[in-house]
Amino acid sequence: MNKLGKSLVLFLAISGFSFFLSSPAVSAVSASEFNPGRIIDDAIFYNKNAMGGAQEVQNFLNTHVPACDTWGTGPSGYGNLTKAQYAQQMGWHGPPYACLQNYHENPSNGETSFEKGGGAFTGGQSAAQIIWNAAQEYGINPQVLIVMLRKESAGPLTADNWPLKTQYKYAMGYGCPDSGPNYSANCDATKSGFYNQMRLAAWQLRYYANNINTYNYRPGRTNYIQYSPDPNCGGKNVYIENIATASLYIYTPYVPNDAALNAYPGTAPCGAYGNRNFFMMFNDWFGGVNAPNYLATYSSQGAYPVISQTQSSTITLRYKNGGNKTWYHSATAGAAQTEPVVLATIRPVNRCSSFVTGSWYTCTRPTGLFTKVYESNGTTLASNQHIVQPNQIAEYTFDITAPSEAYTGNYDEYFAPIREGAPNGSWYMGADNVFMRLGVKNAYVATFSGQSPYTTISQNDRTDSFIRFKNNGVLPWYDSTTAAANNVKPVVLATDGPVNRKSNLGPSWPNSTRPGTTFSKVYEADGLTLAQNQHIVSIGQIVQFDFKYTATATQRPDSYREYMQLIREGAMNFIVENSGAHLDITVKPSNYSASYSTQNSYLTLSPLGTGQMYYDLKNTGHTTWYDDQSWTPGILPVHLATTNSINRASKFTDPSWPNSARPATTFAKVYLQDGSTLSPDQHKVQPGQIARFEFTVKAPSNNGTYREDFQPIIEGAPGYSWNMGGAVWQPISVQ
Amino acid sequence: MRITPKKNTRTYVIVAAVVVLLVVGGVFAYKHYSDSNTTVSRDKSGTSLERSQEELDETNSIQDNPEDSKQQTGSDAVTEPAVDSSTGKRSVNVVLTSTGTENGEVDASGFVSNLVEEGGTCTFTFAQNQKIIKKTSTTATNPTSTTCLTVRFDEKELGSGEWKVVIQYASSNASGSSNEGTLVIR
Repeated sequence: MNKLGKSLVLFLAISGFSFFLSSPAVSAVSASEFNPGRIIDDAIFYNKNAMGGAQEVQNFLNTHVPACDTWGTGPSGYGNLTKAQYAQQMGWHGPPYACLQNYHENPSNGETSFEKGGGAFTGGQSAAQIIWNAAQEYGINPQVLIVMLRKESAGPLTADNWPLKTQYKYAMGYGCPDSGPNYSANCDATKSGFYNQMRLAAWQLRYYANNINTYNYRPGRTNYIQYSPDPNCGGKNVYIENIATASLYIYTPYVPNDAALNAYPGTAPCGAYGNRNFFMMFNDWFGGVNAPNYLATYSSQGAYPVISQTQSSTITLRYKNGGNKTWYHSATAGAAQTEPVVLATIRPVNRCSSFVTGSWYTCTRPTGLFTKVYESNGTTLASNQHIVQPNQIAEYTFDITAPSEAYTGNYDEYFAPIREGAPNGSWYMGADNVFMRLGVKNAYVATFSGQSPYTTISQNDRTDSFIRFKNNGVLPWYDSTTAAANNVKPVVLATDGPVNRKSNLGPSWPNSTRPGTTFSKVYEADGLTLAQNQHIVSIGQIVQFDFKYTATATQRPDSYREYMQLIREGAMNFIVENSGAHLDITVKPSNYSASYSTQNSYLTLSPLGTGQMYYDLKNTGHTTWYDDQSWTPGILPVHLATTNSINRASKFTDPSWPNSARPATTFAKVYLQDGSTLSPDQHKVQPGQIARFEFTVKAPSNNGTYREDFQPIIEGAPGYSWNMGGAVWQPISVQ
Repeated sequence: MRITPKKNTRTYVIVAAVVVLLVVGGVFAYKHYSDSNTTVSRDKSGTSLERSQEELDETNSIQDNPEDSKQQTGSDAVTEPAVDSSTGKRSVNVVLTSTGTENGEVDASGFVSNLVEEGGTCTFTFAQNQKIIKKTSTTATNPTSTTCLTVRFDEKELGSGEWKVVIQYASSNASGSSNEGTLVIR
């Protein structure tokens, strides 16, 4: 292929492709499609939210009103005169010429952009804002007002790039009765100005809607309508289907004949054009005058609830009937022989909501009844509270309950009205983007209420610790002894940082991740009075967990920050909120040292006879001694062992000994430092205190003088670390 | 000369392709051009994103006839009603738009099409043989007309049968009578 051929093919290919990529074009409506009984549907005419706000109106005007010749410098089309020069010649005012997209007006004093430089000024409202406000105030589609402006204003203003101020004065054709001399217009100055005209036109349309049965064109019946202002042109009977169409005929009381329709946008004999033009212009600008039979649009909703797990809340959703058909609810649809409009879960439709309560029909149907029915303004209650007519608003109110095991956070639950049982997908009514954000809080919330102080302990020692939390949630707490009976998960104290961290300091715990699984104490809210039930923490009460930190003999000396928190054992959402805490434990090296304090008098025994011996040994180290009654897992106890050599099998072993090398594994007495006052704890020997090992000896059968050596040891300590000194001996005579 | 059939075939294919593309492109171009007079691009809500031919024509009309476009004329300008020399009043056009019965009540509606004024009175006359019932109503003004507010009363006042209905409008400045309508009460 030569170069030209390639270029041609490429050009055509790109041209064709570009064609397919161009903006979508919608076929324009034909005037022959004008339906005299249904010029526009109520659902569209009275949809005040058809546009997104004043800015959207402004954007529309910016697009459709031509570029403004504010200073009239462009050609007028008359000789070489500019617009401003032509205006002067005609006796019209000079520039600025404020086009619709630039026009502002101060409602308080009537000042306009014509006196203020042609555009925005302090205190002035834009035309877009005025249109939007009027639409909102009177519940009229702002698109309707814009079309009426095009239809009614001189110019029209929507097409004029150098309008005069007079064109705004009676822009909606409102307020000029023919009561002047000789049938002249006697315009009411109090109704002049763009602001007044727009509000009065919107007010008038709303007034027609609210009082339609007192006016000359009425929906739901056949009305006689002239073809044109000339009565000789005749007219025809038109069955008017809705309020909006009747209102348009009251505003402009003629129906176009076929010639006028065929001549659009031109004129024809006996033609009338106001309603034809409204129909065509609305279609031209906004795409359609007919709403679907069933259409729901979002109206408003109640506040987003925030609830704890298991708690309930009442929520409210409101949907506007944006279609042409009346909605009936579950109790009225049967008599009306139609499908009820019920509220369904959606995304996907018929999703089984986990927030279902007993009041729901099913987990996919919160309710099938209208709680309230409002007029389109959203505040006035409709006279019939059981049906929702076009543009009225249905309110659905129902309860939701947060699942007990829901994770905390926000849940967007989507609901939409549907036609229950309608065939072939016709159940769908839109509004499937409406959701209620359900905030779920933890039902289990704690407040820190106190703990034992930070502690330093030796290796092979322990400390008694506690921590307290107040129940600030909405549900009581049960411990492992009461939870099952109440069909809930028990609240336990767990290690944290991370949760279920295995602690080396918890050999005495139920397991290395659970300092406590039963409540040690339960107090009333004052933190002093013990609660009646020591295994249930009601809301406001305080629980105390007692537990021990134990440093084994091999625990590396260091400082340890032990994190912990309350959890619900076995629950999906197990965290008890705000229950994080920590204790600092410092472990120092152990220091064992014993010294002789006193002993029994030397014994003389007969062969196989028995006698009592004791040794008082002082704890001269820095580490507490535990015996077989006071040790706990992780702690190595201090025993009295035979020695010389260590663990020598004694000839004086009595059956009461644990074995022939251990005459005593418990302390018989524990004295304070004075050696005479008994210590409150008779099974722990703190530094400076004195332990008495007391035991029975049974003499061997052979006479003689024997020497028996003993010493305290740390039972099970690795290597030679069992040796803590304090070796003692005495002679025993057998004869 | 050495003939190379392969190259000839390729040339024919290229020429044919160009012709086809020209035809197709021409059809598309024509269609696109012809449609551009009647269609506009729109956003997903249906709002047009560009000025239509009618809008451009409106602007051109203002450019061509500024003295006309600056006048307030309204969509469907009414003709001035003539003055009745015998009464000195305007002879206005009165239209009976509907009659009917609803929930045991009779109603009738109408308006004055070529007058906007306050203070007039509408008299609805219901006639059956020699029997005449009259009902009056006040008015409400509209931008280009005056409504005779609907009269509504118990249908028993009329009784069954066919009734002729006419509206008469009267004010200090104008008067007029409507076309005759029919009301049937069963």
